[in-house]
Amino acid sequence: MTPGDQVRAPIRGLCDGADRLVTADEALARLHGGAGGSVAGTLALPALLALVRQARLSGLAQTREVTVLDGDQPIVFQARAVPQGEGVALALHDGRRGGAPDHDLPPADPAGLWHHLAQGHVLLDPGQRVIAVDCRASDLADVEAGLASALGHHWALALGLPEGARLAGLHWRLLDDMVVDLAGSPRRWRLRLLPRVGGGFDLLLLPEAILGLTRFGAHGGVHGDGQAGAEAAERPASVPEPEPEPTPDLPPWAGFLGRDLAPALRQPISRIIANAETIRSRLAGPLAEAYGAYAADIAEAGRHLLGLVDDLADLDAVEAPGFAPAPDHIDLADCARRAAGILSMRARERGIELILPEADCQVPAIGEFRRVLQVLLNLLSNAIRYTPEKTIVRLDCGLDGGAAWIAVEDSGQGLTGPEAARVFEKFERLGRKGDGGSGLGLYISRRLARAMAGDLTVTSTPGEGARFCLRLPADIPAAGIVNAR
Amino acid sequence: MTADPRGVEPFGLVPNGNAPRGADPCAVDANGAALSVPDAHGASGALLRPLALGQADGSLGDGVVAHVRGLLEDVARQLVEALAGAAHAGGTCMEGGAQAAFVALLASNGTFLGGLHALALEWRLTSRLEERQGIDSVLTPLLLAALAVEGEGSEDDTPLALARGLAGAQFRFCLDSRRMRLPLGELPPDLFRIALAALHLHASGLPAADRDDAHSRAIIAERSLRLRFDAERGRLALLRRFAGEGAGAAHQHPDQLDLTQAGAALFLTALARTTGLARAQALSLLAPARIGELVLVLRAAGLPAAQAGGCVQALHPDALVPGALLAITPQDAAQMLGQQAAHVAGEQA
Repeated sequence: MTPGDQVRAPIRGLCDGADRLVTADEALARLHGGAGGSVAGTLALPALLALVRQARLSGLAQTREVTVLDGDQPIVFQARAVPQGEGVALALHDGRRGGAPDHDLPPADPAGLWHHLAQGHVLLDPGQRVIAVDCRASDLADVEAGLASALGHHWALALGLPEGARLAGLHWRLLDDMVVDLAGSPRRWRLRLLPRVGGGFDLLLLPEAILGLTRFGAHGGVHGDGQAGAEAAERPASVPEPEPEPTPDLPPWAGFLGRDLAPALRQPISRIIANAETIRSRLAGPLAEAYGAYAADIAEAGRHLLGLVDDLADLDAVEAPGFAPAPDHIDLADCARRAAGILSMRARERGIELILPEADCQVPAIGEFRRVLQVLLNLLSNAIRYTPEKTIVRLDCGLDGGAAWIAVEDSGQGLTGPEAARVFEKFERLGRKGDGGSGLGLYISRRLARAMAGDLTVTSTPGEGARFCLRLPADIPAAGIVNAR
Repeated sequence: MTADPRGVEPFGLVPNGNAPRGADPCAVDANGAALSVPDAHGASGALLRPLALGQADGSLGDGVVAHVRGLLEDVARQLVEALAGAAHAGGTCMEGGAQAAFVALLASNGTFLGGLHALALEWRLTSRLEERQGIDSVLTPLLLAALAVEGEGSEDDTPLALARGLAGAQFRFCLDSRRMRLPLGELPPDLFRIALAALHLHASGLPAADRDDAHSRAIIAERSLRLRFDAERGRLALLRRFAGEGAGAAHQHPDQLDLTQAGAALFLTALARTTGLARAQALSLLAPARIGELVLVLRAAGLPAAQAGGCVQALHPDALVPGALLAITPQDAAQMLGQQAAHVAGEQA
């Protein structure tokens, strides 16, 4: 130590036979208090307490480096504990600020992760021409051979991608994160282009599918520069080819969309819609007409996406093996009026008149209110969307023996016989596109109706409109007290 | 209650792994042929020296030690697989625990361990230069310039083919290093021989009943590994060819001694050629304590003062190099190095 260094006096304290801090310098008392210790209470600094206990029980003086927290700041001391009578005398030397506990951990590095996940690495020069290639996955053997024979050519051409010549002219940012099919591999591959510090690129081939990842022994390395031997040695021939995966009854992602993805997607999509609406309505300031229109498009596309997410989540739900709606006493006429109320604005925009059941009409039924309303909203919005402007959509309901029914009747083109048969199929659009439908609504509605011990049917005469009829079990014992709801 | 072991300082104890060893198990070949393991003491000593002098610069840090262990495991795994292949041919199967046995055998050889340590240090240097100095681990300016030369790509001996071969080998070295892998084909020839000797040593260590069988398997495995091994196609050989054959090559291409132009791999090869040291030994010139020596070597090889300063800057960003040292003429630098060499030689005599 040079004479210029200031030697600071140690911080001192004294603990009694029960490890209570009985006397302490101001700095130690402050640390003790900051850690929740009280005057003449048990020493509240865990590392120091352990040291004091050890010194007291062993009867030997102990010195060690301890870290104590001053608020959020770690401070490192050389702490010396010397037994003194029943208790222990403490002296803390050389206090200095320590780093945060995780200060020397490297920051998360997504590029590093991609490097580890990649099954194929291609080294490109600054012009994106292939310099070297290294593939680990056996189904990339053809790709590796193709690339190795095309050194010096643009990777898009060397990979034999469709429109490779066009891709070769594009900026690398436009090519990053493509998903492509590669010759010889049954899997889809995501391509990542990562710029290197020296001006070239790493082209990473990341598999999109996990199943049957790496097969051993299928090829012995196609490197062309002496690597083949070592690679072959790494792949023992004794490891058998994995059995082909049996096709499972349920896809492995079943339930994933409805359970995990849909809730996560709804919020950001809603925010996109809300912000687009803000721009469109010029709440944030004046805006050129064209941009307002773009914002409207964004909002519309967002709504479509949100509807699709909801549909797919519903699809997941109704196709789950244990799906069962919660039955309840409901009034179909009430449901009809609510659905009409929700969609009345949209009907009015198109000049469509909604004709509802009489105000005193009641049709008691057994079903889950939320699901019945969902079916009705789907039927009604279809009717409003596909019926010509300035026409009529009629909602009727009634009891028919043991069944309660509610029908939505439009005055559109109607359906032919074969169309009526197909209309409930999954993703069936009857040739329509670009109108925001997913082709799932009627499929889901019929699944819901049947899950509630009812059915959804359609009767139609081409040219005279279609009539969709939802039937549910009637709530017969409750018929007399329907007004109690 | 007994004293906490953390409170007791390991007083002057040398960690086991670094203790100098008397007998080197790899020193005797099972076939009776003398296997040269030069300077086993020296290798351990070289490991110990920076620790003893308090000059540890992280060359024995956790990351480097873990890397060495990973490479050891990988080499051992390949030996086990080679034996398994031989057993397959001969109809017998391998016993378990062989990989751990190979790790122990290889780790007890100072030369082998030192060689892996040098590779681990080279990778650490390479990746650090890429992260902190922007010197690409593969596509260095010199290599890019060589790749940009128009030429017939089909011929094997053209400069372009050599540059491509080197780029591929260095690219794979980086990928393998990331995964802590070391293909047997990339071992320097002397380390490769030690790995093969380990095959036989392992057989000798088995119970007498299995020994004959194990020896025959070891012979088959060695033969197949030797057949695949081609020292002239490995990365180190390509680096040597790229750096130019002949002792005077570095003087004709002083750029290869410019770390920022050549990158770590080529720089080390060129440095080894200039100094006449082994490549692993040349690495030790990059230690902080040897900056002065490094500058003299670079200047003596004809590297301009500014570039020599740039090299030191890239290696040791915190170091301040006296201008007078950089300004020394190549002749003076060579003379001082000569005196030093003579001095060292005199000491050894």
